[in-house]
Amino acid sequence: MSTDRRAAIVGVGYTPFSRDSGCSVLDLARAACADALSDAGLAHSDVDGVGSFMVMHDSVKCQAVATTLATGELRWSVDLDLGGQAPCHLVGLASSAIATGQADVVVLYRAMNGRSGPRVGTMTFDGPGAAWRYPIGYDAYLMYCAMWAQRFLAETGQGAEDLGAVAVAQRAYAFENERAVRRRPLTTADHASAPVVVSPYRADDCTVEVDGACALVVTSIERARDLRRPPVVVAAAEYRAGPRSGLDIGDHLLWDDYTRNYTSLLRDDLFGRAGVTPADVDVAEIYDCFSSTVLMGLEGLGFCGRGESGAFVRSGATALDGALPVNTHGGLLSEGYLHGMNTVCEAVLQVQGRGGARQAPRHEVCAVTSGALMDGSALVLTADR
Amino acid sequence: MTSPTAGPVPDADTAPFLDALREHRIFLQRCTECGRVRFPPMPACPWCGATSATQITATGEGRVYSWVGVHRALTPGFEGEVPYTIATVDLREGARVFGRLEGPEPIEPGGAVSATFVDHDGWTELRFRPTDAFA
Repeated sequence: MSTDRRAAIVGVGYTPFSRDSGCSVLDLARAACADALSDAGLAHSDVDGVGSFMVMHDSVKCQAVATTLATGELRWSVDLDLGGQAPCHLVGLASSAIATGQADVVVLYRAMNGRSGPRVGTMTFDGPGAAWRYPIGYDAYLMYCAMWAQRFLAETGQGAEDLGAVAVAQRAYAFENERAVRRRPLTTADHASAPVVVSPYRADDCTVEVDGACALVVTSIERARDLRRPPVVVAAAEYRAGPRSGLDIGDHLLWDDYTRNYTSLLRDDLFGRAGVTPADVDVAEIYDCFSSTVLMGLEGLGFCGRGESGAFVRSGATALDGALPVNTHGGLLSEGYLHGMNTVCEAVLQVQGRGGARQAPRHEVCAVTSGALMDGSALVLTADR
Repeated sequence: MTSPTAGPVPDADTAPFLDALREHRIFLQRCTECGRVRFPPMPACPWCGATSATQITATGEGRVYSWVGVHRALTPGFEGEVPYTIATVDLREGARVFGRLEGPEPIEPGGAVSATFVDHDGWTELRFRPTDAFA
């Protein structure tokens, strides 16, 4: 009988999230990877694959991290030049490596001094599209997501109160998450009374940049069954960049429809490969650099109808006792901006039943997304069933 | 007018457009194979891949597809500019561009706009202003 080479995630690791880590990015990366390996019950010498991603050189490469982890030979290594589109994609790439025998134990991380060091929110993304944005003051990723949000809200008949519902719902989860950097209670009135940063966003519609790192470990399900944590099966992994996705990470001039992002494009393949429907999903962890991407993701993945996402959130459906708990860590809006790698780690904790006071009651099937606009990736993670 | 930035750095793909802007004209590429008009300027058609294109001069008329009102400057140099509006404008000829939109921030998409040209030191910026609806 052949071994089961499907991939499973077997451990997660974190450093604290802070405004000023006082550590090098290399040290953050090393510490998070070491924590994830310890969580999985694996030795550093078991690692034969490392993967990560960075935006504009804001992190350290796998080679350096493997060196400081004192791994043995690497058989697989991937450094992606991507932002928040990357985390689920990296898990998919690692799963392929596991399935084809190119690697046995892969550690994936995202590490950065994103607050005290280079801040992605005010970074200039170079590339051929930059000439049409930065000189005119269209100069932050926040603005690009806001541009989509404005059209999305107008075309679907929703408004700023629907964005606020997302921020408020997620803050309630953050209250139960000691790692979250924004934990003070947030009401709808608080959200609405804050000044507009870039319309339609107010401060609580935006993620918060942090220093920190997180990591996870992927291996074969066969090996996973002998380890200390319940295996989290990678049931499906999808990456999508729509046609004419542009000239760089911020170029959306050739994208026709700002009301639909990559989630609409990958939905059918994602759920089809996993053999589930949106109705089977117990928990969703949806990439949320900004509140509007949660609404777009809920509609794009088919968890609710077009134009219904705001009402869905306001009804309490995404709360812990709702039909579909969403962003149980508080999201990037409240936990902090590790570019969605922390969103995948939260999904792992939920499927393993390790969510503590924020644990979803049903947690066999979890959908996760990475990315906001033209391109991105997603996973369906399941219990070993 | 003074500008917070040094303006776009031209390359072989973008120089014809930027040079035309200095003459207050909007050059767009039209694919000689499929006829699509594109922006940004690039070496091949993003719909059919054909590399040959002709230049057309756009009217500068278009409609606001979406917009953002920038109330807090996010890069140094723009503090004195806020609040300002950036619009995604669908030009009549079929291409989509970004530009500052003069006047009050829109409350809905779809408004008619026309181009205006702002000369800075060394470069010219394409902006838009609201206009009466065109045919």
